[in-house]
Amino acid sequence: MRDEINEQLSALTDDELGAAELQFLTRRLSGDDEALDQLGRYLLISDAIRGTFTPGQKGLVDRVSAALADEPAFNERPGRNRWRGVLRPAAGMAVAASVAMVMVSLWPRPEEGPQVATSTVAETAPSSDAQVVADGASSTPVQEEAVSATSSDGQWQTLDPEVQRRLNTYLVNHSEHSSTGRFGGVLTYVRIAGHEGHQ
Amino acid sequence: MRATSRSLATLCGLAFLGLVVTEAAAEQHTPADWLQRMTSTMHHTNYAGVFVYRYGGNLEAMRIIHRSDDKGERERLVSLNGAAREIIRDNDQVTCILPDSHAVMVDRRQASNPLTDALPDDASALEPLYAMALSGRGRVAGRMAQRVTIRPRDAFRYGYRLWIGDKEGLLLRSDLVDGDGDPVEQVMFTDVHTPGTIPDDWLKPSMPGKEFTWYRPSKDKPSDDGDVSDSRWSVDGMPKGFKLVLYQRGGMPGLKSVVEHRLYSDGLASVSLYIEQNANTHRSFQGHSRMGAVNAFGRVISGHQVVVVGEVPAATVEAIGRGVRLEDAHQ
Repeated sequence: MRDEINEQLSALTDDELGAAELQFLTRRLSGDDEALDQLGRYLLISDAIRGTFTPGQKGLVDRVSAALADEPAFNERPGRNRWRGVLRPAAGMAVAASVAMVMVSLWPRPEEGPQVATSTVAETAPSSDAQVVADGASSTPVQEEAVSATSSDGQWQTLDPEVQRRLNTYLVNHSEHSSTGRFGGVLTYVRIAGHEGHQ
Repeated sequence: MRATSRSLATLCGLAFLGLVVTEAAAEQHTPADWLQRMTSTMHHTNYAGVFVYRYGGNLEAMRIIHRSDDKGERERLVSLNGAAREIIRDNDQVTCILPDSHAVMVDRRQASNPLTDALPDDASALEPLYAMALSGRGRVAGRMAQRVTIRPRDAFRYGYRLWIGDKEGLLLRSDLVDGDGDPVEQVMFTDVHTPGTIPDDWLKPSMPGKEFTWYRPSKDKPSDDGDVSDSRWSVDGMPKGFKLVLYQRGGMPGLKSVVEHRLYSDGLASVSLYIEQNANTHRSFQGHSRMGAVNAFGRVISGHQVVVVGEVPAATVEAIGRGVRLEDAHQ
């Protein structure tokens, strides 16, 4: 059954799903978090292959919003909190818009949040408001200062210093294993020595 | 005058013949042969030089000194402009002196690195993911070089254009390119030589760093004895070709929590997944960031900081990051 769902998700991503299958799949997605996650990955892969991927998925969210904005009528989907604020397309809506609707519910997860894609450098959210939700799991409150990693240019050296220090630790460690390490040690550490001079 | 012309013509002819012989010899070897030779040279040869590092619209100049002898390898990398960052590597550890951050970070060298060994003997193992070819010859830092192109077959990995010196097999220039062939990063020697010996003084740091904060390796030494099957974490939807090649758990410099580290490789590109037990006071990294060709994607799952880092496109780190699951979260 799971394979069949995955096939339909893949077809949906490729815009090759028939109307009847789409109807079935839409119902299925409303109660199947695993399928939602799988769809997210398919779309990510599809974007990457087509060269339309945008880090932070700002482009995706924008495209979703634009697709929805073009539709003449929407209704709020009842009975499911995570879909609150998501507008249901009118009957006969294009496949792309249906996908878009799913994506609105899929991507702005509490731990990922649209603010990741849009907020500015080192912006911190009040820790008391932050919650971390494991995928498919019950909510687990965590006192967390959520520091957005994505700046307007996405550059490492413009991150919050504490976050940057942590990433540097990972980068140094990763450099020991890096693929370019096989070309000699040079390339792996050039980034560490070179990039931070712009701070 | 006529004799001079004849001599000049003869010299030109000999030079051309020499070039032809060199090119003919170069073409006798496969791309994998060149890469194998280069890998060996960069580890087992003394070299010192200055190179430029270009990424985005930025250009950095750096000096590299690499010594290889019966005691092993030692290397010093110094940034020549901006903050005078230095990185010293020997057999046991890597030390990053970061004057602009008033910090020194020390980490262990990997005793056994599954990736710094030679490229796969059978280059065909990479064939489903990369197309490798000899792509002409060039001159870099005054040295003739063979150009080798490694082109990715999908958007989940970068490609390379490498210029490998004829004489010693030094990597003289490396372009890391995206799927369209546009450079993401470029490293190119402007001057390089291969001295027979390199004195200790050349490899000493220029600053002691006494006034800096030192971040040393945790006593909780990473162990590769762990079994990934015992981990509570799993990764779904791994991009094609990436396999788990290393699994470790332990401490890392400057981090108080135990970190689970997984290294994935497609045979050429590598990606690290770090899962850190996130203390409540930590500030988390969520979303994307990049440093030249290095992309990172972070998220928080059930109080754990999850970070994916690698010299791969942003889509790859995000695909892996979004596939991370806490297995018993459903139980």
